[in-house]
Amino acid sequence: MLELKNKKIDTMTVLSPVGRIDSATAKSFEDGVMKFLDGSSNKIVMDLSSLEYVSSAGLRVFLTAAKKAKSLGGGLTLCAPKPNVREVFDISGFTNLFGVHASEKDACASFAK
Amino acid sequence: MTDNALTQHLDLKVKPDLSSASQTLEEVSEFFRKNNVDTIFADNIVLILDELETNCINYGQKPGVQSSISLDIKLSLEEVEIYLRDNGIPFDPSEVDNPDLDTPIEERKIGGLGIHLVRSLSDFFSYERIGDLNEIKIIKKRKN
Repeated sequence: MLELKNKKIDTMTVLSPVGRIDSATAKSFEDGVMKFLDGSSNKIVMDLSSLEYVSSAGLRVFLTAAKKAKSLGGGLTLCAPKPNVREVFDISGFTNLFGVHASEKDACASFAK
Repeated sequence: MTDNALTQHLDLKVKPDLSSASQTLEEVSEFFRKNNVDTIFADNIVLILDELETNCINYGQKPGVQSSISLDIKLSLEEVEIYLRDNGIPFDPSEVDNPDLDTPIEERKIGGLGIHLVRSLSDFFSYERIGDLNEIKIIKKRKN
């Protein structure tokens, strides 16, 4: 099961996936995330503090969303992953690609730079 | 691995659809919980199996052939040893190129990460085609 919480902070959208992103839930995660990517919303902070598990099916959605955000003139960054999730992002090279911040506040501040 | 009284076994048949594969992974998690395996270690094994089973189901099935996927897990105090066997299309994951991790977002290819995760999280990985079966063997050491 996967839930996707969302909130707006200034021009940024903070998305918090709650639960597990695997091949069974990746499609609903993708549909959820893509709703928040358009001309008026292109800066996404992924708060990973409630994400228990991610497989490559989920990683593919993060990359797709980051590409879309970038093409809209914004970006996607990450914050607060649990150790097992962090390891998966590290191995995939996504930590360097997206940036990982300790908190939602730090992640939001990275867009102001 | 030499079998002894401290080696725990789990043998499972995996039905070739994603929701059944998910249930199998639940059983694997439960097996590790019962045996007091560290949760991050257990999560890594579940991820390895998730990636391999998903590959078998999404890409490996032969048209007109009843798919059979089996999983054989041996857990000792030192390590876990896994055999995953399927009767699908011959596929050697060790021949898959690693993704280029330094490519910028715009050019980074989508996909190819599953096998990379499996190999990165395993201490030993081998593939053999035996008759009409793909056999993958994985060992991961338990570090204390």
